[in-house]
Amino acid sequence: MKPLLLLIFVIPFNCFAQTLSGFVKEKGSNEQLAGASVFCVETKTGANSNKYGFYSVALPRAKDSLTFVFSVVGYEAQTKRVSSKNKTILDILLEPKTTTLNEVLIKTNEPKISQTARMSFQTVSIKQVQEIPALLGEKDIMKVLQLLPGIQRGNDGNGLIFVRGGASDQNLLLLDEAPVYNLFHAGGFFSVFNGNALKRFEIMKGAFPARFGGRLSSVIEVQTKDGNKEKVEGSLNVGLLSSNLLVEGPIQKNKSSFLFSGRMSYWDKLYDIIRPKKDDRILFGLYDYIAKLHFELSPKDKLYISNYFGRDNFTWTQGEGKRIPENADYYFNNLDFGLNWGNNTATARWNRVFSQKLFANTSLIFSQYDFRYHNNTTTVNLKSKAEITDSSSYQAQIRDVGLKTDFDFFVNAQHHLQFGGGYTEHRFLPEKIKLYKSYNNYRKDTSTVIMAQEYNAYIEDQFKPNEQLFINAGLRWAGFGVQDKLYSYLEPRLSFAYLFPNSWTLKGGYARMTQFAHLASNSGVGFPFDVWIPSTARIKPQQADQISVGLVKDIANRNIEISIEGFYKKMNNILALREGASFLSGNTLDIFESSLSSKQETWDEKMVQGVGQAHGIEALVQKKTGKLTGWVSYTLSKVQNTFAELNNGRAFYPRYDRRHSLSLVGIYHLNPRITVSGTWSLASGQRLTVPASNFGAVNSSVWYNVNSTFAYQTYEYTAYSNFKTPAYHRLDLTVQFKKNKKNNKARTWEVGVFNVYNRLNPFYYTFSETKPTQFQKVSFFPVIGSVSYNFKF
Amino acid sequence: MKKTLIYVVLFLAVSGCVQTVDFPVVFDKKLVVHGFISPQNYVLSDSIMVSVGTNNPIIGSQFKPEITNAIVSLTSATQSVTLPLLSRSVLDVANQVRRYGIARNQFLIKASESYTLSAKTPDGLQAQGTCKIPLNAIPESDIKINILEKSKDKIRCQIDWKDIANEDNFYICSVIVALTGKNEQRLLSYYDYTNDSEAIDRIQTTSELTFNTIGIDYDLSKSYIYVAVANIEKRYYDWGTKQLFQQRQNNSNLFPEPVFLNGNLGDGLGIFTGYHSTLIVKPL
Repeated sequence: MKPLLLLIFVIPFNCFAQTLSGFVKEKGSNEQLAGASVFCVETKTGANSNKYGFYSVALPRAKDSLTFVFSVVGYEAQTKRVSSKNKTILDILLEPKTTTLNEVLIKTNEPKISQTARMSFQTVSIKQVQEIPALLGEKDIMKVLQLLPGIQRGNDGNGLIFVRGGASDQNLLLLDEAPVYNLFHAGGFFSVFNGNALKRFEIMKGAFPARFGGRLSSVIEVQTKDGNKEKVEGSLNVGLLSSNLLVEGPIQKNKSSFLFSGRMSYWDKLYDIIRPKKDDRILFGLYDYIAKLHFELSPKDKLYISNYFGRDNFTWTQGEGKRIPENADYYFNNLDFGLNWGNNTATARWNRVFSQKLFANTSLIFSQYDFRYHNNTTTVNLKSKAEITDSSSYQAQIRDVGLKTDFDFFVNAQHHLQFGGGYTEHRFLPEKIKLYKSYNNYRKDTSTVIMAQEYNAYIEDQFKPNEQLFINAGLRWAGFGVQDKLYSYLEPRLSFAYLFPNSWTLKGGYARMTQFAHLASNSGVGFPFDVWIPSTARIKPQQADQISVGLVKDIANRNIEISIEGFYKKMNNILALREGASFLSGNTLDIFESSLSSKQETWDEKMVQGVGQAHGIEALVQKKTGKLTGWVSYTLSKVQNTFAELNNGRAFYPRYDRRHSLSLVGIYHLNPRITVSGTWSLASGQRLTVPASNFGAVNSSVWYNVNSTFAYQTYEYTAYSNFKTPAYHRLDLTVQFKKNKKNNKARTWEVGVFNVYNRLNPFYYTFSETKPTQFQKVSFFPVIGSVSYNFKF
Repeated sequence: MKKTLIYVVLFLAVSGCVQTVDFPVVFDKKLVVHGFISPQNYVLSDSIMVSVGTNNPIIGSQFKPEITNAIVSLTSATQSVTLPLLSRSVLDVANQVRRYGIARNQFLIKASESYTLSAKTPDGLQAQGTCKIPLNAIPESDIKINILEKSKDKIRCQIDWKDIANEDNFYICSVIVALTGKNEQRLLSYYDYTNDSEAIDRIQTTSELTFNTIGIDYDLSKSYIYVAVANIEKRYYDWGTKQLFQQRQNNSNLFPEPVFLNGNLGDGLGIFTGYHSTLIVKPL
């Protein structure tokens, strides 16, 4: 309670008479703009609009009128004279920049990166995402995130991210406030986010404000567009392997709007045409959509309803097959194998402007991720003609229903309070198994459901005691009830920024984060059979303490921003699968195999917990405006984990520990019609564990002993992460040809080359199936060309 | 033309490129030794035997010269013996090992006693480990064999036994169904590790054991079930289960996670361990 009292006491009495407030919107669509800067020229103070576009700034008593500059990257800035005598509500419409060639740089009054206090925070405009090269032209924010400092990539072509030494499940991704549990289609090659429908995204890697929690390493906020409230428009994008369609427009002009964006792949249809074997049929397809409705119920009330739904389907069917082997007892007759997974999120949000100083958002949130697997085989005995059916199915799921309310209280020029709380009912289904074997009429039908309740409440104060110093101090309470146990944690948060002359800023922060939902990863490469599990009486919540400090510099005359940050993160109770444990094999599904331990591990007994620590330095040089935009990012980092039950208790580098990481991103607008862009990435290799030798190991039953049993070929492992793969590097290039047509229509042809110089980065290593003594590197993505067509209407 | 284009695009998009690369870990040659000892007579031999071989590099020739010149010794507090090299068997050839052994009556194995095994070769390879025979075996009367079904297609049974009280126990339960037909004898086997961490009184094999007998023309009156339940050392349990886990990882996972097999032989690989078993033979 003391910190709360302290926050209240430090709020000084108000020396500001009036308040200027309103919404910042996009001209032409009325789309609300988050993160817009509202800057007072005379007082050199300002504020940013919140994620719903609402802003509020106090006006000093002494001034008759003041000059405010409203600006967002990618939009023409607008200057307004505002009287401080009257109560003022002012909605601002900013016009998108149509061309960068004739751009007038805001050199005087627009706040620079050094004047904003956010620590360990990064964002890239959706416009830039659309211009950055992508595999097969599929624009993907997750792969753009991999190009930012402090964020490590997984395998080649895969969108997994690892932030500041954290595992991939330590990233909280919020899509219109709803958590998304599986971020990828096609096993990681494409993220679930269809770039056409997105308004903005940002990532926080440390110094987390108190309003965020639930994951150790990052928070990624993704907002979808609200839908154009003035006119119907859309776009169609046709690629080689998938296409997407966006349609948005008013339901009632300037009062309500709709948006629909859908995407579907058709590569399996192409494959089906050319597949060589008629007995086998392999199909893989994906689709997703985002639908959104937005209603302005009154000048003070807005309602947003949004839904995301996406699924991947993989099926393999085999009809009358071939005999294996020639004289076997069994005739392989029929196979039906399937994998199916996807997310479903829905959010209903109500914005309420209670006063010029008090804004609230209340969200009702639903999120579900599920994964299903089935494998049915029918065999016919050659001698008896008896038919044997063997079927197994597996399902895992997580489902959340939650309610949260967040308040923005713009107290005065010094204080901006944010407070609120939330409740989420989690339903975890770590494993649902059905087995049937007809020959012994064996049936198994088990299901484990765990209900858990997550609570949180927070308060934070963005405090600006003077023009040089900015402090964000907060406290979050996080609670989790599961299996008659209540975990309860207080998480202090603090960040500061001190502005020196000459546009230098010193920033720092501390955050404690707690995580109650965890990913039990089978493969470590982001495949969908990863299972979400809760903290339980046995599995303690993961927790991390992170400190970070950084320097930021603006070079205004060149419009360049430079930032350098260092961080140290200590993690407790991090999770890993016990050696040999798996959610999809062994004593769950292949129970019919003999010679397996009869000790049936429960799902939480398959996990082990340990500690980890990470530290590093990150640098970013960025140019956001002008003919040439882009950035250079570099990360030097080190992460080590220790588990008593793994690697004989010794510390080891996890797979995603890459010592160096460098990314170059350039987007050059040659003329209004042609844009050339490229990215080049260089990173240290991944850490893998390979065996040191092999030997025949006797697994003795009592009478077999060494007298009569055959030895199993077994690997000798000496240490985890004993192999560092060669350095990763890749160059991608794209050229976009744009043409505006009549009636605001436009088309874009995009020609891209992925992996221009054909660097064969490894996707995985394996032993040759035909020559087991050969060690092989398998690369999935050689040089790949792509063409796509986008039409806006 | 259209089809050709689709082929080209798909080839570029989905074809994996496979390259053979050098293996990144330097090979360290070690002795591989296995020894399992028990106070009871072994079913298939009346000798104490130890197998000795070496490990293989992951890449390169998998042919190992036989270790025929090792000095293998077995000692206890009161006895010491050097195990002579035994003649080569088909099994030795398959496993690329040689066995060293001695008749049981020349070296007594007793419950609750500790034994040390060491093996050395002239070129400096060595392995040494110690084990202790568990004190208790399960009385025959505490083991129950339930034959649930004997049909043409299958034999179903369930086995349970009374847990040894007041100690942490690890067990291996081994079952052989020996089917004798007109022209052949068929052995169907099963074994299973378990422990008493969650046992209240009795321990049961996980589920009903089902032996598939489809296509085997056997005579029930001439067929038997052999059941051996052994009280084993913890390291035996760990070795056996982890070895099975590793097999499972390697067989079922494209990206197998490492499973460490920790023996107790110092610089060598393998295991030297003890058990105390009870055997029941019952006609089907």
